Amino acid sequence: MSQSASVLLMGHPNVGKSALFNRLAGASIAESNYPGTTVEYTKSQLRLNNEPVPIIDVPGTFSLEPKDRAESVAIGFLESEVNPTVVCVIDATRIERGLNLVLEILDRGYEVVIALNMWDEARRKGVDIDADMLADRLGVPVVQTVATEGDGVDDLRSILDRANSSSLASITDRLPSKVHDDSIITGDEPAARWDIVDTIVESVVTYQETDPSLSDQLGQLTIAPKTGLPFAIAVLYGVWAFFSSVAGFFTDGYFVPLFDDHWLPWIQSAFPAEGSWLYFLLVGDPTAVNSFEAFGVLTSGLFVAVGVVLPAILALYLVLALLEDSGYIARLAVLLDAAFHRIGLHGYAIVPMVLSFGCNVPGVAATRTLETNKQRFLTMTLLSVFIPCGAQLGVMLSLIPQYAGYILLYLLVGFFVFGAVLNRIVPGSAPEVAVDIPPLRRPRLANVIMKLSVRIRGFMMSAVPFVLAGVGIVNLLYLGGAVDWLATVFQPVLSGWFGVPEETVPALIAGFMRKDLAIAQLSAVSMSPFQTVMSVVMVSIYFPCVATFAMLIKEGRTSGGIIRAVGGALATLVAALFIWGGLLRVIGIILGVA
Amino acid sequence: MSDNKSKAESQSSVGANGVSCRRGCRRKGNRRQCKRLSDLECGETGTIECVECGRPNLHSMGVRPGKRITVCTKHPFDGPVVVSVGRSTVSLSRSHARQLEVTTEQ
Ligand SMILES: Nc1nc2c(ncn2[C@@H]2O[C@H](COP(=O)(O)OP(=O)(O)O)[C@@H](O)[C@H]2O)c(=O)[nH]1
Ligand SMILES: [Mg+2]
Repeated sequence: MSQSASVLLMGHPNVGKSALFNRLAGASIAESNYPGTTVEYTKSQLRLNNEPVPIIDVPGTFSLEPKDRAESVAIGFLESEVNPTVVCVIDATRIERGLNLVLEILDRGYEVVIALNMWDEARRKGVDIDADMLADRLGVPVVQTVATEGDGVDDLRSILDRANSSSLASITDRLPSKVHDDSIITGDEPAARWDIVDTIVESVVTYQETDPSLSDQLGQLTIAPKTGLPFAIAVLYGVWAFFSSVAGFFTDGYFVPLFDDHWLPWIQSAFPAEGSWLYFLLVGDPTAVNSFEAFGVLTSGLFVAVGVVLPAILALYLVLALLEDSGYIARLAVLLDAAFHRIGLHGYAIVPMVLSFGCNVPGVAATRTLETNKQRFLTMTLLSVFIPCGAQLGVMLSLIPQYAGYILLYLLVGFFVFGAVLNRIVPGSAPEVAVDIPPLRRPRLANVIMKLSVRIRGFMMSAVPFVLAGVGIVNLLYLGGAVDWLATVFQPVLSGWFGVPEETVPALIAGFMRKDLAIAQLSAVSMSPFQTVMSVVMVSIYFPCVATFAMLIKEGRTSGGIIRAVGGALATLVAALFIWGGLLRVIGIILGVA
Repeated sequence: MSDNKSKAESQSSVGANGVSCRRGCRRKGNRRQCKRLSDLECGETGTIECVECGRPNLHSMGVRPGKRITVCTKHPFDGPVVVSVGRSTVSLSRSHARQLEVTTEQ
């Protein structure tokens, strides 16, 4: 085996490949309890006999015939690597289907090591596998692992250089009975493979009946419509309540006094050259008494990024991590499947949607697990238009807590209404899918903390500079007169169609950079409550922030072409802005508040 | 042995699989009944006769001929059918469930 040959972790979705990868390579990538967490490969280094060997966490795949883009990536890897060592990761509690993939990989002549992961769960469920006999039958090394605890990982590492290839014919020869040979002769490949699997399982696995565990019972209750739907509503409401109260607790209780009473007055007086353009750029309004309205890079910029958005994002990512790791998202997907079918999607579109509430960027990336271009286009367009990100929600909760929930509901209804329309006019198919429901698991604290720290670090590195730069750019445009000019140009549309003052223009400009910043901008404009709600809805719907837009372009390229995907998304957002925004105004007029 | 034969048979027939399934069912005698999975009640168990041949990805999830399958829940408005098969829980869309033929003990 050459030293540079890489190690590929392959297996079905949700069997613990990423968890093993983290253990083997000392990396920290997301592990979640739903199929399709890993849509992008991750590469790292593994030290083997003091030599660095590349190791790759490949997206999960059910078979070597891809059914979506994430699976094609997986198979692409297998085919493009030179002499890879394939670590086939199998969920020991359901060994059959894992073995089927192993045989498929062996059939193509790859060198394989098998990790029988989830060994702890298998024992709990009364599944006993004779690993030595399995290794004999298959002719490749087999190791039992518990990736989350790190058990067996050292064994796995030490056995990597004993990876072996083994032909199906030689495996069949080693089987105790050869009754199934006839199907191999008929050339019915998949059936022959399954016959081998069944014979192997028969001889190496014993199942003991165990009572259903608490997680099994909860798993059943949360997926049955009668108990699951009320539970889902409670969970979603609970998520919202937690998010809004925790975010408010830190922002109002801690950051608002800190910034308004100490930081703002101090920097207003301490910063030299009041009246200069630099003062305007960095500190903003010298008379402002609250940190939202000063609008300098070091006042509002810092306050929004650190004081408002950071606590909100922290709270939201915490509940997202709990949802992801518990395996509940897959149950939500099943409960909502019928509703999503009305808009040409299926329940699993909930995954990108839920991720989008954290940030639209990973949401758009997660559309890769959907099967067709139409589904990907629909999902990425709808979520970038209608789903407000956590940062934006955080600022909304801080500025207009009494309306934030209703605005969110109005946007979600828009998601489905426009989804139904798009489903009619966008050509393409929406295949029916079968999805795997993972067992409910107790989220592991270490994993939740790791996820939070990765995401918060990402936020500090990429979002905070954008917020600060956004404030700076808007202020520069002010100084250059561009804001006033744009305000006069758009005044007829803004007041004529939407009924909001032209002073909202800076917010709309800031919206290109960051939606949270845009909402913060609105706080400086004096408006009626309805106008505030209206302009918040406009900022939400209209143009996605640059980061999301870049992701749309990237993913659009492979979902029917940039022109179609991005053009379609832009057309949708313009239509949504005018129709859904206009409708809100009509509602306001009918209710007598506009 | 005879079980295996009918398994291979129902798999190798492409296309008009409905017919071949029913044939497979009759052979087993009349104590068994051939049904669509979507017609099973919650909690009912059957043996998969034939999964539409054009859906290999169902096979790779463990939904394949000869396996015992139990309906856990059926969702309203033509929603998915959640089944338990081969120690996993899988959610099948209604149209999958209609194409999936199972035999049940009477
Ligand atoms: N009990 C148990 N859970 C595990 C084990 N390995 C992974 N998990 C959990 O299974 C889920 C899926 O793991 P992940 O690494 O994301 O799987 P991947 O989709 O194959 O990359 C996560 O919730 C993990 O915490 C294990 O050995 N035992
Ligand atoms: Mg993964």
